[in-house]
Amino acid sequence: MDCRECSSEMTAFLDGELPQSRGRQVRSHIDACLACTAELNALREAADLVHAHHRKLEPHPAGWNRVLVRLDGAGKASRHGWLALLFTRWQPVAISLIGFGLALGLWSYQRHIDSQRALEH
Amino acid sequence: MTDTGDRSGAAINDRAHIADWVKRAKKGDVDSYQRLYDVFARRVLNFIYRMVNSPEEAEDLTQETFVAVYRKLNTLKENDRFEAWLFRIARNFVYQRYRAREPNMVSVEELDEDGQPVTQIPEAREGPEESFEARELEDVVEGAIGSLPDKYREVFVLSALQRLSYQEIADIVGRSLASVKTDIHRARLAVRKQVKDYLRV
Repeated sequence: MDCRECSSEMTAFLDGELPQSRGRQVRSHIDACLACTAELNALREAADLVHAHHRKLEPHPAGWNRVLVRLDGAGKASRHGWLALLFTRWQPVAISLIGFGLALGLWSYQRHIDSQRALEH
Repeated sequence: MTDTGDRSGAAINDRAHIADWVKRAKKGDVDSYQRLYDVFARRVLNFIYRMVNSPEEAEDLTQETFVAVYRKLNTLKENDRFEAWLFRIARNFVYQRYRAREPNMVSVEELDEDGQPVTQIPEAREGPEESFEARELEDVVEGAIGSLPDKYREVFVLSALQRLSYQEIADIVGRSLASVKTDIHRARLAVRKQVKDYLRV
C-alpha cells in the first residue's frame, strides 16, 4: 500500500468502517510512515474538535405535545397507553361500546325494577 | 474519536429497546412512540438544522417528521431499521421544502408563542476567557460545516456528528456505499483544512 492509497482510506479507517483485512493494511502502512501518521492524527484531531465544538440544539420543551396536537388534536399525551389507544384510534368504537353498555345497564335495571314490582304484587 | 469507534447512532442501552418500542407504537401505544421521540428528536433536529440553517424551521420540520413517521409506521418492515428510516424521512422533508433555499440564511434569536427562545442551547458555565475561546471555536466549526456543499454536508453530519454507519448513511441518502465513503472522506478533508489553524498537530 502506498501513501495515496492509505490516505484515501484514512477516514473510513478512523470510523472503523474498513473490512478487517483492509484495516490491517492501513494500520501497517501508518505504523511505518511518519507522513501518514501525521495525517491520521490531524484528521482525528479535526474530527474531535468538530464534535466538541459544534452547535447543538435542544428540542423545544413542548415539542412532543405539538407532535400530538398535529397528530390528532388530543393535546397532552395520556400516560396510560390503553387510554390513548381508546381515544386516538378507536374513538368511534369506544363511544359505541360505552353507549351500548349504558343502554344494557338501563335495560337490566328496568327489568330488575319490574321484577321487584311483580313480586310485591 | 478512535479508529474503532462504535458507529451506532442511538445509545447502546436504547438500541435494545427501540425495535420493541416500534412494535408497540405500531399497535397504537403512544407512550412507546414518545420514548422513540425522546431518543431521536434531538438528533433529528440537529441534522435538519444543518441542512436548513434555521433553528425555527428545523424545529417545525422535526415535528412534521415525527408526525409523518407515526402515520407511516406500519409501512416499516424491519423494526430494527427504524433509525435510518426516520432520518430518510427527515431528509425527504428537508429536500421537498428547502431545495431552492439560500444556504446562509441564519435566524437571529426567535421566540415562540409562549415567549420561549426557539433555539434551546445549553449555556456554558465558564469564565469570560474560556467562553470567548469556546465561542471562537464554535464559530470556526460552524463556518467549516456551513461552507460544505449540501451533498458533502449531509453525509458529514450523519457520519461525524450523528455517528451513523456508512451503510445506514447510504440507505438514508439513497447512494452507493462507495459513493458515500468517498464523499465523507472529501468532506472531512475539507473541514480539516478549514480548522487547521486550531489544531495542535
